[in-house]
Amino acid sequence: MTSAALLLAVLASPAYNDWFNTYFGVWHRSAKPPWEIAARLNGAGPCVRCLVEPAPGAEAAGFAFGGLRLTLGGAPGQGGFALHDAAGKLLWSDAFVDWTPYTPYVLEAVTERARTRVQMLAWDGTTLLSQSEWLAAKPDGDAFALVARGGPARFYRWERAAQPLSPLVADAPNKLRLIQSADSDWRVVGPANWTWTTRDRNVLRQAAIVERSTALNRSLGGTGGTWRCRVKVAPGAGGAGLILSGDDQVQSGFIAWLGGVHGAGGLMLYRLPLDALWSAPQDQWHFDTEYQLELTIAGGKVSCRQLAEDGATVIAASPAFDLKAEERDTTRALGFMTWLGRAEFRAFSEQTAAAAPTTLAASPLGADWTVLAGTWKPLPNGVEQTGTETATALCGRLRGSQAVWRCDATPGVGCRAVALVFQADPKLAAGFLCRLGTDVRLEGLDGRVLWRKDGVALVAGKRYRLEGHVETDRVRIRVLDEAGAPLAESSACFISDTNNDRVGVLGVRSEGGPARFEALGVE
Amino acid sequence: MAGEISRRALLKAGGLALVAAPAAVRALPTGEPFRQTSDRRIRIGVVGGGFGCSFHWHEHPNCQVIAVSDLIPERRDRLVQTYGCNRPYESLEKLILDPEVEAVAVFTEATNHARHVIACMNAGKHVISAVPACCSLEEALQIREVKEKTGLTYMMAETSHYRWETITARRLYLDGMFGELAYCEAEYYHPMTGAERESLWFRDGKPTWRYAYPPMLYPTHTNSFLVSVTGERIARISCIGWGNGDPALKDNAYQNPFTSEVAMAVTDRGRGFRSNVCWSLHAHGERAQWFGTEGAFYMDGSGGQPFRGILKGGAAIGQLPDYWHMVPEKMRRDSGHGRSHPFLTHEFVMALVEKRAPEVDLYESLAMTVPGIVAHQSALKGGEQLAVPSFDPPRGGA
Ligand SMILES: NC(=O)c1ccc[n+]([C@@H]2O[C@H](COP(=O)([O-])OP(=O)(O)OC[C@H]3O[C@@H](n4cnc5c(N)ncnc54)[C@H](O)[C@@H]3O)[C@@H](O)[C@H]2O)c1
Repeated sequence: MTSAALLLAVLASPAYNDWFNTYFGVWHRSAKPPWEIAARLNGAGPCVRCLVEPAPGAEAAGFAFGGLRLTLGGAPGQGGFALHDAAGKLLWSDAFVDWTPYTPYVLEAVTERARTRVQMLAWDGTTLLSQSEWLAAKPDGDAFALVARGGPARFYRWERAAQPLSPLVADAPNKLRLIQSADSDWRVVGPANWTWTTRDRNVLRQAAIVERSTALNRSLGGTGGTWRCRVKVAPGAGGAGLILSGDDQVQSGFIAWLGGVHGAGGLMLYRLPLDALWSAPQDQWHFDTEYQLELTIAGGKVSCRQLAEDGATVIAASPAFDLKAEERDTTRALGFMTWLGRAEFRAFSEQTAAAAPTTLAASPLGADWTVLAGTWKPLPNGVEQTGTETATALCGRLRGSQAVWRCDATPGVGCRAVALVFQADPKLAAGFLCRLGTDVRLEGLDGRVLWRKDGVALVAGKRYRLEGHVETDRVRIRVLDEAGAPLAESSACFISDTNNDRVGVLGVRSEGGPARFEALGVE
Repeated sequence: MAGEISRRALLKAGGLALVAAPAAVRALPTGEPFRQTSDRRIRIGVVGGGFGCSFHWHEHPNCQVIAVSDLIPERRDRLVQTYGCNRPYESLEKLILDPEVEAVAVFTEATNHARHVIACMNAGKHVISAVPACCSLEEALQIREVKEKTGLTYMMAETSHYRWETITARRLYLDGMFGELAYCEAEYYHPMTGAERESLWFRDGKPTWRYAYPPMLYPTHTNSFLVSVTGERIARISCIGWGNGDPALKDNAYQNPFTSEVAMAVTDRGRGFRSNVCWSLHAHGERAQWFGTEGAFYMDGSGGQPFRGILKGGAAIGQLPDYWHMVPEKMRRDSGHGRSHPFLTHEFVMALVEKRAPEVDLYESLAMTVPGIVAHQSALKGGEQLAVPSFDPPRGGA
């Protein structure tokens, strides 16, 4: 009997009513037993693997091989990955690896003589998510079964293989997790998944969707000064903040908190645990946007500020509140708190009392402008690039979403192309270009050409009007001559609807030579 | 392994195993990462150089664009450019005479879909059509007749069906995570005011088909949130409509007095469903929320509503799953409408390669389209509740 026929025979039996064979794999539909279904592995070699797609609420989804059970599972929304023996004893676990329901992951076990190691990878089979060391455990026999306990799951491509998808590595993501590493100064309060996202451990992320979680570091605190950090709240989370805690349980001290409306709230200053001292207007922090938070304890008072990503623009600043007598001279630990979801913190350190680094260089065009490259100087009605490199400058004051974006561009001798940059993310992670060179192009800042027209080329010394029109989920461009006659007009190009309400800034770019940009506007 | 099982054997096994869950038969979950299993390349012709340029036909390993057409020369050029196809035709009518074209992507005006789909099928071509399937009950009948007569494949390019939240809702429903799914609310808001009105309602100073187009004749984005998830049919519908004082409402090809229409429906399972299609409210986008006896699931929205599922047994979902693995690698990018375009492209191509009905076949498409046609009639009658005719084949039939 082939493995397929075997599986079909099992699936046809009434006892397995909630196990389904689909065209692509196997689906366990319910939270009801039987929790396991036998299957036969194709292939050969010391590695056993399967793509496992758990549904929300799955307590365990994975496979059993030779009596060992390798599964995803844990508290809902919190992730987890574990190896148990036949008696149900836990042999190894990574309680904090994150998994998202309905996303498949590759679980793999590698056996060598009397030892076994296990790993979890993203569905691409290359991105390592979690990995054990070698464990003193050996499968007993060849029996293989798919496992889905406590909730539905789907399974694809179970097989044996000669080579593991990843060798043992020193910096597996699970080894970067705060609570598992040697970061002994750290203390985590509440359920959480605090992880360094970078090998040099400078960005700390709380990745679990839990109600409230705090990470404290005694060595970064003190009695007085200004503490800063960069914070970015992930979509869906309720808020995040910078703490100075007077105790291990976060019951005393202060917090500068991005709270209020989720994704559109304001800065708040709390006396811990729950005494709101002050709050700023709403709609001043947004998801996936970096801010700088500051908490200052000085002269017997406490205050906080929220600054924009440039580290200079003040979005909100609280008044200073008197410390109570018992709060003076207290040593507090620096920490970070998340609420109902995920957030990232960076740019904090022993030097945190000093100015946090800003990401952007001082601009020769003034505080409104960010110069990403080139040699720029201001004009009465715009800016000019005088260098020969490809150069972009962004104007933070000219912001908008659905609008007509425009500038007049005059390329100088040697300039290959001029472009209007519109609805741009300050780091150029999103946005568009209306670009006039040897042709006219509407480009995404990801380099994708959305529209192009040949036969219109720039001529040095001529003045052109470049326009970008952002209309909900469509963008289009126009290029006009000095007299206002259209030279090129694109059709509307559909773009991601995440663009609908994204606020971006206006910028200009010249390639290969000098250019003047004037009459910049967003309407 | 599952990959060895023949399709016929599987369907048979599925039939046995699915006794407990008949509603799931239609949409067995297929989440396996894509891998190419066939060298066949569907030869497609793409018509309509507006929205029709935002798909991925040329990037699918099982498809090639061999012809394009638009009545407007610049749009034709844009199709040539987008799909790298050098066989432009002046019209759909000419393109369908090309014997090498197997399938046509019809992305012309909504009011032309039925006529163009019928012409394509009569010329022996499979069709994917932009939404809606049609604009009247007579057209619905005609398309069904020609589809059943020719046996060709029809799919409607309903973006809501492949929004990732809908894929998730479908899985939650199949997995029983709602308990009994009892009520769904769906909305499509697209203010046709200001610059948007100028750009969509006029072309070269002349009104386009969108000029005062009745909202409920564009009902598939909302109805899909129900039909694509539960497979239910809308049985009766009542709708109210109102205008926003736009002068276009006094003089338009549809004699349509409404810029907003809000419908309340009863499904063939006796449940409630609310569907809003509005051109004049200060909100934007397509979203739904699904309520069951033991779980509820909410799409995010332009008002800042969060994405969240609070599900059976205390389970939760707070982050959109990653579904990119389902489509070929080159197509893994968000080209609009909730990342649905690559999935639509893939489904139509694979349905033809695998010689099966696509997920949004004609019957599903009419189940999303026809209730809107009836809803608009109801609104014109002051909200009278009207029966929605079924265009499904008789049970046990095709
Ligand atoms: N989310 C969605 O699913 C979504 C979004 C946008 C548009 N749409 C639909 O897509 C369709 C196209 O939308 P659009 O905005 O591009 O509309 P449009 O009116 O701008 O474009 C229609 C095009 O079809 C061409 N055309 C008409 N008859 C033709 C013929 N006989 N031969 C060749 N070309 C012909 C026209 O010249 C025109 O360029 C519409 O039905 C619309 O409802 C759906």
